[in-house]
Amino acid sequence: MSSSVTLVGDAIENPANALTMMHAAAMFGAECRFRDTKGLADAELFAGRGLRVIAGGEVRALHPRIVACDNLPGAADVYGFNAGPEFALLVGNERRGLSYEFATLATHRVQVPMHSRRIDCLNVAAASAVALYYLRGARAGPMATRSEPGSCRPDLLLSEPADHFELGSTIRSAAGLGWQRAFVEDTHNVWFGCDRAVRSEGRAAARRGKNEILLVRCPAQASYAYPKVTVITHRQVGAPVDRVNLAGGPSQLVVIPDESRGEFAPGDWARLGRKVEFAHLRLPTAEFNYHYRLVATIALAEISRQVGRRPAVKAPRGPRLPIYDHALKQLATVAGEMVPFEELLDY
Amino acid sequence: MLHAIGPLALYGVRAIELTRGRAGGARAPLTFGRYRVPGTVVLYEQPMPPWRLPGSIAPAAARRLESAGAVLTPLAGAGATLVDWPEGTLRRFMLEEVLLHEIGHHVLQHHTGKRPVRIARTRDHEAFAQRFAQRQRAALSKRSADGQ
Repeated sequence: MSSSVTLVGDAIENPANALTMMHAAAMFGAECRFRDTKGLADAELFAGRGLRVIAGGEVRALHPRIVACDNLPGAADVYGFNAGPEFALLVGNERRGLSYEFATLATHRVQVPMHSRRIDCLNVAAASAVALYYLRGARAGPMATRSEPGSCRPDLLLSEPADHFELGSTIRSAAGLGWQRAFVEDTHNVWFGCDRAVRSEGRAAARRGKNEILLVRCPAQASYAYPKVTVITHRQVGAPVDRVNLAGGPSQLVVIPDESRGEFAPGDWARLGRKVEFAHLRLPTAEFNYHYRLVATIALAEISRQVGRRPAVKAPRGPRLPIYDHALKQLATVAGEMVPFEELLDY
Repeated sequence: MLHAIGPLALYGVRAIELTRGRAGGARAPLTFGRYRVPGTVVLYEQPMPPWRLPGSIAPAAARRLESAGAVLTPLAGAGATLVDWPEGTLRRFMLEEVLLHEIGHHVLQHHTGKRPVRIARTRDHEAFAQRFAQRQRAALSKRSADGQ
């Protein structure tokens, strides 16, 4: 299989991450290869599957344009970056990022802008999906610039997550992309009220030790009174997500349902608010291995792009021009009068 | 009136705006005018008289209003003051007191050249504007008395 885009994982340690990256690449019609320095090919998960490996020199021979996705110095925002039709996308190890060899191999550097000081990177598979989404030609401009981006950030509801790893990574993405609070409709008990093992695995995926996001448990099928509700899905329902205003502030609730179990009933969402609209991600393939963290992180990144950030350099304000008011306020003296409480009714 | 004062009052004036209401109006409903550097005078719309003002009015301010023709009636029981403007007096107050005061600010700002900076402390600025308005008012009334 030869593809115009190749996703290359550099020294990925976690086989589950590697598998999700393969699914992310397939979602965008890209090939996925790995520079295997951690014995990934020997993992049980890949037994019989055959992990496609690649070396640095081969990447260069494969694509003249090599884009590194990491928070490296001088990295451009992934939003609005024109990578062209053919490129290799390099993503690095979960903890250490790209190796020096791969970082120097890159002809371009991009990053997903993060808003949190404590969660400064996404799950590697989620980051791969976001990068592929924007570099594969999603019609999105650069990140918005606003003086008060916080006032434009909508509320977030993660609806019916079915897997604790997927939810944990999504929560990590939400915190990293700037949310300080999220609602969770935990109908499958993967976050609240789960057993100890599920609980610790989910929280590890969310980097809960340093992730300060407030998670609010919402009862299943509860009703809310948001003026505007936007449901983001991968199905072809509603308008493309980049054409929908996702920067409506606290009066807007953005719902990202977990569709891994296949069910999606548009009628269910009227309970959340007065006006419900649907937005879909522009994914090049309709059939793919669904991962909640991939779809949700792409949706969160798009919201984050629209919400924007403060200008990097604050324009210096000129000196305030003098203003002289002529008002009676300066002339009148207001005489106060003490009225005892018992006399107040007769006053 | 400004022509009667001469080029001093007109030089550099960019606009004299008659404005309805005032930004943040509820906090200071009785703002008469504003001078905005460089060269913009704003005269605010005033409520229909009589005005019922909270508290009592300071003697100096009361003298200024009365000299412009206002009739001040203290409402002792209610802790308020009623300010009435008989016919035409409010208009004259806005022109001869407020407009000339703001023009006084503008004249003082001449000394900065065209730089939009503060030339004096606010207190001194206000005092100069007040003296300017008094002088010009006196000159205008003398001129009208002389029949010019």
